[in-house]
Amino acid sequence: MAKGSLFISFQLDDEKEIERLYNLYRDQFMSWAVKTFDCERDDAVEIYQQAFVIFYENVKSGKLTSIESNCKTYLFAIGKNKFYEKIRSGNRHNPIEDVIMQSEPEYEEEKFDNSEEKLDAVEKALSKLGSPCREILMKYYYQKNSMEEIAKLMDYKNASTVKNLKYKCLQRLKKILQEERIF
Amino acid sequence: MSIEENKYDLIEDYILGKLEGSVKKDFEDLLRVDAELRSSVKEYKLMIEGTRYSGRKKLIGFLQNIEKNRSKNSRPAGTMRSLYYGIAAAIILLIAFYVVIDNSLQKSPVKLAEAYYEPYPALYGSATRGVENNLTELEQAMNLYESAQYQAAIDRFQKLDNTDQQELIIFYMANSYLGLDNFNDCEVLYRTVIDTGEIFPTQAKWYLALAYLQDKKTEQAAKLLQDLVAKNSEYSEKSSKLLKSINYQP
Repeated sequence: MAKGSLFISFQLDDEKEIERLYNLYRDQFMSWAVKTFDCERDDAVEIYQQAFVIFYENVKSGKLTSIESNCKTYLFAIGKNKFYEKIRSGNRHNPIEDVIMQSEPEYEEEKFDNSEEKLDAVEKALSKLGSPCREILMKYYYQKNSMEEIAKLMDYKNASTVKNLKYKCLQRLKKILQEERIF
Repeated sequence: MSIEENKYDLIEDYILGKLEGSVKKDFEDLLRVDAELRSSVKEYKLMIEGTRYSGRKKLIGFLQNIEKNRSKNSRPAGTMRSLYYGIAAAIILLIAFYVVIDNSLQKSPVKLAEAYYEPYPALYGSATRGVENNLTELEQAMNLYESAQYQAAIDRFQKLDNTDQQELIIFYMANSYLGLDNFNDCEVLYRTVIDTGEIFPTQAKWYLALAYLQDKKTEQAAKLLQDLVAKNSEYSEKSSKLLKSINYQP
């Protein structure tokens, strides 16, 4: 499959497509990781999943469109960096690895400013919020769908309808968080 | 759009890095002197980050499930034969069950509608159940609807005069009447949503089709189902299956 078509289909929010793509490079990644880093298979799976999540988020946010490498190269590059991070956190710093890392394609990993405790509280509030508000907020803020795309995916009349609903859903979420004394 | 919504748009654009140039500078100047605005930015940032965090956890959970399924599919050969026999037996039973059910359902649009019916979820969920005193009238009505107290929900919806929420109120009243099997009243309200609504017309078509089937108006149901199939909505697949099941011939 050509790079472009893969990217477009990946942006369709189809779980089957995500699963297909995950499985497409999974076994190759596992073989490569176990051989290169002499790690346990469970560690390799964990790193592959982390790499896949970063890859997904970068595709969804449009940060990946300018990259010159293909999906596989990109996934493996993130995975490699993740392995180095893991090695570093185990205090086994190797300056040669830093040099290798500099030659890899750059990727951006979103870090959260808020504490995990607060983020967990928002997650709980989202589950209380229920459907369809939770889906609308998730599609807009995490999956980075446009208002038009959400309208199409969720059968709303148009983008302004979704925008209006999203605003109401956020107000509701805010109220729940106030009641939970998070704000 | 209200002043509050405009303010929210600006805050969101700032958090998402969409503000540029002088607008961004003006906003940041205002942030320095306006404690209330700073507090709002902080709140919205937490809600946006929390949603992303939740989305990430959901995706990781999905990937972990893929791994679990892979593990299940790669069981040792010794257990495979008995597993295959088990699966084969289950499939035969399922097919037999399906044939019996399908035959009986094909004869009964009413039963088909019941099988496909799931109440439409309350828009705001049951977020504040247990703290009834703090709820708005609309939230109270939604909670009654969600707990299937349809007549009480209708009574509460009827008292509401939120002019900006009219479509939502009518749609949920229609859903409540459907929950009570009051097909005449739900038809009138669903038709209003289909003809004049902006948010729920597709959903209204689906539920009205189910109401028609339960009311033995198969032809009217089929027309709505055909519309839904043609529109390529989230109801298309279900509508297509339902149309085949009722074996409708125009």
